[in-house]
Amino acid sequence: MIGLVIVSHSAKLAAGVHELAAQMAGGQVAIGQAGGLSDDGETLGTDASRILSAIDEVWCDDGVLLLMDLGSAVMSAEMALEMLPEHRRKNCLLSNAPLVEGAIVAALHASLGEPLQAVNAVAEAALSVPKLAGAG
Amino acid sequence: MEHRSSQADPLGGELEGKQQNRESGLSGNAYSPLPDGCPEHPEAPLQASRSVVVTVSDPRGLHLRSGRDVVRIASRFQASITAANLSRNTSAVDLKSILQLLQLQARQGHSLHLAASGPDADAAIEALCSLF
Repeated sequence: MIGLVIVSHSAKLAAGVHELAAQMAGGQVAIGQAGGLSDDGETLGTDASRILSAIDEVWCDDGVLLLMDLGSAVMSAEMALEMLPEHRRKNCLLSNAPLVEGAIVAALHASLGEPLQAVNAVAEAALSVPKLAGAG
Repeated sequence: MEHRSSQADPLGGELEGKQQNRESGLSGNAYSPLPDGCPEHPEAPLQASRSVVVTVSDPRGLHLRSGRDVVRIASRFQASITAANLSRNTSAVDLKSILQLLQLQARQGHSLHLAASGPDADAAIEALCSLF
């Protein structure tokens, strides 16, 4: 079963998304979080080494999917992947999914035992699902 | 939980258009292609289909957590399974997708038309009915 890492500029946002995702996964999926720049959660930003630690915490050979909020979170996640040993890097994936919807969908499908690429595909499909029925 | 089961629900047929008509052998309207005396359904359809209307009983409607349980159950079956919210007149969505399921915006008392098509369609509908 794959692991997930939630990356956000805000530790509180990462914790909140983690809470939602954990409920969807029913406790069956390892979900890490890397939010903010400091442990007290006061400084906003993303940091590659914090993301790297979160990947290590949830590591599993089935792979790890990273979900980022926006902007430099993507850059920091890329840097974290570069810091990984090769055999791990190729089993990590940065998702293009929107953070909240993507985390919810990914957690649910990861808990169903789906592989990394499949979980990412269904999470990224969230981009084309309008929130309001009939919109879009 | 209340539900009305039907093999060829006219409402569902209207909602889902021609495809639903073909799958379920919709009858009971003036345009039925079946001559009098013909059985409404073949005895052994290649692709079993089954539909049912359920009423949402949860006071908070179909929310994230109950939606998760629906997707979990639906994902166990090979059949393709759709749901439409008759109370909001929505189109049918894939019941194996949590985000599409949430698009139904189903409140307590709303009627959902569930339709399954595939070898285990019957079992899928039976299992899903107990969740509403």
